[in-house]
Amino acid sequence: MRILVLDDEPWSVSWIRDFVKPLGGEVELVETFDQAVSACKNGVPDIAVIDVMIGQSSVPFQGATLANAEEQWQGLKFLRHLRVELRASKKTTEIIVYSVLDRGDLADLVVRAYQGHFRTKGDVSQFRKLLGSLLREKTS
Amino acid sequence: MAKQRRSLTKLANVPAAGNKTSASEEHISQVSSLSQDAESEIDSGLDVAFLDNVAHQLIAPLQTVQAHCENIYEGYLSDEESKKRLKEVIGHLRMAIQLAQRVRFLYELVSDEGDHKQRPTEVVPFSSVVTQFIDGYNNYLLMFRERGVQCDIDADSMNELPSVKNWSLASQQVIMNLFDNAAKYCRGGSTVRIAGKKGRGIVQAHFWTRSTEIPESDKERIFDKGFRSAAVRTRAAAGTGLGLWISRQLMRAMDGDIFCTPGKSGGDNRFTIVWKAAK
Repeated sequence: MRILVLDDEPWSVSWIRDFVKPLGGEVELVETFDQAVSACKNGVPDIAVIDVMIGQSSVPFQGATLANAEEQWQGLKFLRHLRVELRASKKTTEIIVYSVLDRGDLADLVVRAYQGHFRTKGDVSQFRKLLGSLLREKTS
Repeated sequence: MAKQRRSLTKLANVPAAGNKTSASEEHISQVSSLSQDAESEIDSGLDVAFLDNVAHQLIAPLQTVQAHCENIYEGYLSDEESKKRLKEVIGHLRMAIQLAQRVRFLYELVSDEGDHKQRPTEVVPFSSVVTQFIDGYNNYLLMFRERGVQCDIDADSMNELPSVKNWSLASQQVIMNLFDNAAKYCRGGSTVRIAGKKGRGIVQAHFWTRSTEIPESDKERIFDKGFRSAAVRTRAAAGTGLGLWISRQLMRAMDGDIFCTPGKSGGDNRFTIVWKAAK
């Protein structure tokens, strides 16, 4: 089970490795959009865990259109790329998007545009629960 | 006496207004008022950006601590692995506490509460100032490793140096700030080098990093409050341009200093922290 994690603070998601290992998961940790794109050249991951706000410190999200948000937020830009790859490969990838921002409009966008799940960084327990259940679903 | 809060960009003393003003004084007063309005706007932006950054930087280590603890508690790790992770957890907590301390320092600098001249300094061997930090903050070494950055500490060069006048909490904060910046901005595959050097009545710690290019014209401005160079603004890591400013205030409060010498080739920068040698 291949899990691609995109985060520019890799130390803050190192716990994912420990968490998924007993569940049969293997983590590939990348820091940039380009690295994430090249990781997909080996095939799309089973689960993608993506930090929305890589690439810039704080671009306001309020009122952003999808195209706009995808240009400014590297995490979303990668999701656009992943969506194209998934269509071509006809495979499915479970998507978890997380952010330090706890915003309903961002969560809606993730669900609507990418059929993904949204979690805030501050809600670790829910994040772990979701990741665990997706892994178990995928392996069963 | 009521505490007087000053805004982040208003550290200069504002003179009390007199009863009578001449035309030129009035003009100055109007210009000053306009400039204060503009400052307020910058201020509120800076305040908000700072709060946003602090919140982000606190959440990141704390959520990592929580996740590691839940992994350990729920039995995802062996005893040996748990011990290793707990060591990391301690490091993350130290970072969070240091960050909270930085907020405290900032508060003291912008309010009238902190009189840095009254800070307790003690005479300690120079080698202990840096090595004490390294021992306690091994997480930075892990963060460097995650990004392929090496850290080379020349302990021998520090052992031979005289004792210094040191304010421990402040020195830790200043060194942490340089490590923070290195963890954020250093190029993968580069090396952070640290060495000590003796000067006339002073002791210096040099930090060489290969990161973002600092133009010669910005080498002093990076210590201004709220200043972030164009090169840094385009990089991924968050920042508000307060860390180096706070560092300089703290070092000067113990009769030391901190400055930057940009290297000849792009991005090879040397930061120097200066302590007063003990007599």
